[in-house]
This record gives sequence, structure tokens and C-alpha cells, in this order.
Amino acid sequence: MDDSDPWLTQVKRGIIEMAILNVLAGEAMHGYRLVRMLAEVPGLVVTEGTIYPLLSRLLSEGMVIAELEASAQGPARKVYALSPQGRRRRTAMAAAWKRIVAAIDRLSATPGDRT
Amino acid sequence: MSRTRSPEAAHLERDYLERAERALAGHGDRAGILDSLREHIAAAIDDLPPGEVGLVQMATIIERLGPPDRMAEESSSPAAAAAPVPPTRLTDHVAAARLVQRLRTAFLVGVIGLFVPVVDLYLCESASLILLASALGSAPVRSGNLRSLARLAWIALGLCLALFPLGLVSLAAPAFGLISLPVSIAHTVLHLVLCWTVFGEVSALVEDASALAERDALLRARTAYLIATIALSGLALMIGVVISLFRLQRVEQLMTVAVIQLLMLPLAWLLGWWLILNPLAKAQRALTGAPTGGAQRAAAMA
Repeated sequence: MDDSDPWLTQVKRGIIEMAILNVLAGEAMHGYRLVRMLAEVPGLVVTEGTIYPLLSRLLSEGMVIAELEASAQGPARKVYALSPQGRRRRTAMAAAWKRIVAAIDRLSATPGDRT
Repeated sequence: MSRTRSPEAAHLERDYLERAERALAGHGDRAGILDSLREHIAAAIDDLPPGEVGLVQMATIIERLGPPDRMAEESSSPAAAAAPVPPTRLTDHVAAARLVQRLRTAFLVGVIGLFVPVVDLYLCESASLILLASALGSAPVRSGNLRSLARLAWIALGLCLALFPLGLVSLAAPAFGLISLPVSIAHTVLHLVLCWTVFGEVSALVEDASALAERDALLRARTAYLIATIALSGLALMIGVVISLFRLQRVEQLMTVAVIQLLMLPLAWLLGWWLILNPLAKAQRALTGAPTGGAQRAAAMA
């Protein structure tokens, strides 16, 4: 399927949001490192720049918090971490994801496989 | 301390951030996202081997970040984000800039012709249409719409050339003027359709390069040009009707029309420059400054 397919774009958007929360649940990190981690997952991120508007939205919704950290190489850089609200959201997302995948698997199974 | 960039790399970075700023216009956290992009570029540079940051390295970083309009789509409504990219658009901005340069030359020849009464339609307009059709016909393969517009330009040229003998004959036999009138109207309509659609296609190319201000300028200019041309044609028609009421001799009628046409030339030239040449020049500059596929763009600039 083409990366520009509207359905895939919509699905990916939700998945990337969940992926951001999952990565930040493990540890706080700089935007660049977070973006690179997501970009290394095959087929997940088309262009790295699209992560920043998502991060911005998660920040404004209070799911993610950011702190400035001084850098020896240049200007201070933002370190992103999950907020308590973001942790709750991640847990809810993970549960919903499991339910959706299970439901789709059931529907996708051939009639003979259904129990 | 921030790493030094080569002048070309610094230009590319600055240009990208400016385009991102334009693409994110209206976003509530535009400044925050731009800061994140600056940080991203600085962090990506830290991952590079020591030394000055070159154009190819910067182009690679920017290519990975992707076009700024993708970011804008990401922050807009889901429907907008899901809109597929039309398959007819060019992706190579350097080739698009060359195409716009050729279109500008074609229109320039037509606009210059406005200085020379009578000759303008038969020589300059014909030359302009030949250049236009040739530029549109040789557009890169993916621009299917532009190529079909080339056929339209050839038809307009045919009508334009037909007007010349018809005009000569109608001087001797005014009844032939009745035949040349529909041909003249068809030519004018085709000219407007061509200008309208060519500007639409160029604005799509410019939009692909995320130059939204230039795209809007082109769309405004084509509407203004359409209105101005219709208004001027209407004015010319009214003048013709008024002249006919005075029951002048044929030679006097021709002289009067020529004088009025001469008086209208500066206005026509001004409109040509303001509404056609200037917006196309801006579009070309925007396309020249837009990054294309990473190393390809780097090679083109080098």
C-alpha cells in the first residue's frame, strides 16, 4: 500500500501517538533521539518532521512534559517525558489497541477458523 | 558551540526554516515547533563527523525531516492530512523552476508585443504561443496536465494565424469582419483559458515546494488578469459601438481605433507585468530556493 494512502495516513497518526507515549514511558529523552527511534521502525514514520506537531499537541494536551536542558554544542534542548496523565492515557490506549487487534483478527479469520 | 556550516548548507537550512514558518502559519505552537526543528538540525549535525557541515549533509538532514507542508497537514484536520497528493504534480523543483522560466519567456514575448500595435497579435502573440506550447509540451513526464495544455496552445496559435488573412481581407471587404469576429472571440477565450490553467498548474508546482505565499499570489493574479482582460475587452467593444455611431469613414475609423489602442497600451503592459510576469518570477524564485530530493538538489546547486 502507498504511504500517501488516506486510510494508512489516519491509522499511522494514531499509532505514532501511541508509539511516542510508549517510548517516553521507558525514559525521558531529547526530541531528536525520540524522532530517530521512531524513524528507525520500518514503515511507521514517513518524514521525521511530522513528529514535532504531534509532540506539540501532546504537550498542549498535557500528556507530555518538556524541560529545557543546557547543551555544550549549542542552544538548550528540550527533554520530553511522560506526564501522569500521559501514563494513564498510554494504559488506556494499550488496552484499546489489544481489543481492536483481537477484534480485527477474529473478523479476518476464515469461516472455518472461527470458533 | 554551534558547528559551522558551508554557505550553501546555511542557506538551505535557513530556507527550510523559513518555509516551515510559512507552512505552519496559523498553528498555535508555531514557535515551539520551529524551535524543535532547529534543535533537531543541531542534534543531527552533532552526529556528523567533525568539520564544516556541507551542503549534501544538510540536504540529507532536511530530506529526512520532510517537506514543511507535511508538518502543516499533521497539525491540521484529519481530512486535510489524508488528502492524497495529485499524481500529475512535479516533485523535482529544479525542473519545475526551469519550466516556469520558459513559461515566463513565452509570456514576456507576448507582453512585449503589446507595445507594437497590429504586429502584437500576429507576430508576438504567435511567437508567444509557440514558445508556450513548446515549453508545455516538453514538461517532465509526470506533468500530464501541462502536456495536454500544450495542445490547447497549438489550437490558440492556429486561431491567431487565421486572424491575419481574415484581417487583411476584411480591410478590403468589411463583410469579412463578421467572420473574423467569432475567430477573434474564440482566440481571446482560449487565451484566457490557457492563462488560467497554466497559472493553476504553476501554483500547484509552487505549492509542492511549500511556497504558499507565492501560490496565493499566483491565484490572485490569475483572477485579476481574467477580470482585467474581460473588462478591457468590454471597453474595446463599447468604444467600437460608439465609434460606429459617429458614421466615420473607414480610414477614420481605423485611425481612431489605432489611437485608442495606443492610449491603452501602457495599461495593458502594466497589467501584463504586474499580473503575469511578476508572479511567475516570484514562483520561479520560490522553486529555485526549494530543496528537492537530498543529494540531487545538492548536486544541482553545486
